[in-house]
Amino acid sequence: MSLSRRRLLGSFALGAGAVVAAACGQSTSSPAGTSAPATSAPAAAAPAGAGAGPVTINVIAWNSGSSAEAFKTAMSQINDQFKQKRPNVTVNFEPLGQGATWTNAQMARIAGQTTDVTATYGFAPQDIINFQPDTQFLDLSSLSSIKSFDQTNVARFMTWKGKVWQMTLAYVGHIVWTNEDMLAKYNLKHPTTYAELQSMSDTLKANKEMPIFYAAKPQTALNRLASQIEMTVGRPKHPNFWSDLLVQGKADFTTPEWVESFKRAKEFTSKYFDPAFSGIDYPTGAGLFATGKYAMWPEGSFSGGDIMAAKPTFQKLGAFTAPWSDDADANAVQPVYGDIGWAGLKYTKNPEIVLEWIDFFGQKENFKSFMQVLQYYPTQAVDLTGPVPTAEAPLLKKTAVSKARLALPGMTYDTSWSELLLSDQYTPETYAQYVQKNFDDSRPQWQKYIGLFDADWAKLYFS
Amino acid sequence: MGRTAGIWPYVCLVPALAAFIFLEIVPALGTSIFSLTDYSGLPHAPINWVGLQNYHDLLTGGQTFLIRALQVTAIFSLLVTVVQNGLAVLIAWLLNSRLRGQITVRVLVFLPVVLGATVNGLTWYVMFNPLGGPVTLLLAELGIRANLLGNAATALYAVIWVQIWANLGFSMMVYLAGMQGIPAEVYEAGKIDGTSPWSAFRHLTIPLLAPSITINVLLAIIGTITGYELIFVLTDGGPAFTSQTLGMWVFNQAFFISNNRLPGYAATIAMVQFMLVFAIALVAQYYLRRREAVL
Repeated sequence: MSLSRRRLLGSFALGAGAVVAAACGQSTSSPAGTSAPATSAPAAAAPAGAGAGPVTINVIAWNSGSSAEAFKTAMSQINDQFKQKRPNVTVNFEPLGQGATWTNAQMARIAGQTTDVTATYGFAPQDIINFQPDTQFLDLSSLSSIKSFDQTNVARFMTWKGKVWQMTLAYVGHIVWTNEDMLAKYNLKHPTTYAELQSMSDTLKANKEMPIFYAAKPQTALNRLASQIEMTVGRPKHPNFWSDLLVQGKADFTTPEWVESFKRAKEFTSKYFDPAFSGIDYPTGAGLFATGKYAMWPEGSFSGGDIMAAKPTFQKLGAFTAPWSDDADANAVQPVYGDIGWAGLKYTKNPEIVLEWIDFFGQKENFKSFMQVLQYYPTQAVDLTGPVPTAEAPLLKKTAVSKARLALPGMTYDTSWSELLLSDQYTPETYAQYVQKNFDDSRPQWQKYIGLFDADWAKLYFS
Repeated sequence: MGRTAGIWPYVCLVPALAAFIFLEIVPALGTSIFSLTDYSGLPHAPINWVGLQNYHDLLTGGQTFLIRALQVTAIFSLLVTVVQNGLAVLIAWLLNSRLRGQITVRVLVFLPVVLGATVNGLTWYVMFNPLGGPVTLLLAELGIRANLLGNAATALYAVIWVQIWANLGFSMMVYLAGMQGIPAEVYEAGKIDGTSPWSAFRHLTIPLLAPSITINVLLAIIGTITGYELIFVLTDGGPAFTSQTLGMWVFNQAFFISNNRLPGYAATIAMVQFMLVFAIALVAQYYLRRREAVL
């Protein structure tokens, strides 16, 4: 039995109203909330352009770690430039926290129709399910700047049902950050196979150095390690694993490759990781790595800027794609997923202005200046300067979509392998069985999404 | 005036009653209804009526997670309730004995109650920091390498300690008020009969504290089954879900875990949690009230 939103909300308007009022009180009293209707109305009557009445568009995004200030600065620069082009348009940019705070604030703003543009992650299946972009977002397919983007990135992170619904500006890779000073001290080179990685770590240990830093609190941070190992050990043997999972609802987590992935993860973490890794707070990670006491940090590419902002005690920052398998070619593939981008909301009273602003953002020079400040992986082929892009650029030749954001809503299995890595209750073999059982048991929660993603989509997404 | 005087108490009750209905009853009813839907919390997403499907999924598909959360909650609730009340009675008894410096001790023990969950959590978060926290350094002096909040074997017990520390002052004050309400004549009569201080504590103080025990035990049970704030600050339910109580699980399902963010399903867990609290509190209250009557 299906209830319409209107009917259900009509029935429980009081309850929902009270909950929203209690939980998200700021959403209706914020500057964005109050300014939008007053300033948007004239714009709806008068088309955008020089000489038109004043228009305000509201833009919201998350902020993260030490990148937050850089992000705000970059936004101000772009918006100042846009103001020169469209003097009658004011862009209100509001960062709204991170994690659950951001998600809840974003939902409140969209539900209250008080934002015109929202930041979004590059599409993963869960985003498509959650946002239904073809019904909620403005179609960006005809924007001229879309042509400037790498078309693989457009297909992976911006497209749904053949149209472009968001402009993904950046993507994330799971790599290993290195303290090059320490590696040079022991004459160590970036490894290309698992044996080399182990040998390198042994050398460091023999010299009383800590090979691997990791901050696994909260445990979801382990997802980055799991993403790297799955990409290099499991994926080469089962290239259609995730496609089969999303399109047909089929997955076997008990294959020898999965067991081998779990085994390597367990062995390596217990042997080479800082023993305190499970208790180290993730947000302190960049600062701790910058102290120079560690040789390597398996982590997201986005942390490069955070490491530099923490003023590392070592001279040179490096990075390599983690080699968890014995095949150097397979190890060269870096797991990636879409990061921040912009989507225009369909309900906006100023769709032309919103599209123009997004298009302006995507124009090569504006895009480049923005990404130069942010220093994330750019979705357009632009050359960025600085130690972080210099370390990362050689790693971007081979990429594939990471498993990090592939689970469908309701797939209640341990995607970060925390129960394997942070406790002794499972062996790799029993853990594989456990993951399979939880995946199968949770089927009623996610089965309804099977059929939403077809083989053509999977072909583009996993290309 | 005379004819309307009887109405005024009810009129005065209206604001509080309205606040209670709109902020407690209606959201509670909303939660019970959302537990029967696949509500995702996402704007403009369709909400489908799924009947008891969420309950079925929780009891069958989510069995592993439910049993684990129930186990963690049981350990958490039992240990906190027993140890917190035991310590609180003991401290209240000592403070009631007119020892020197009792006001200072009372303030120190009560201080965490004023600080609140976030400050208490962050304080111990720093104390337990595996890279140089004071507790870690102290244990290192004893030759113990500690990672109390990051170790699956110790995280829950570290959280239990902080929970007790944070709430001990409140329980202690309730017991102290109870003890100060016991007439001095009772103890004088005991003295005449030759009771020792320990015997007086056991056979006079404890029985006469029964109403305070009922209140404290019920509050501890309800607080530990439904609470999540300290756990959220300290461990987030980890490592490996070893400190994920029912309350923490509800929060994570409703708000936090991005790919499993299912408020409808979270509402189902919340309803199970409510039924559990209701049943346990009912049984505990029945037993404690009977005990009060006997004593």
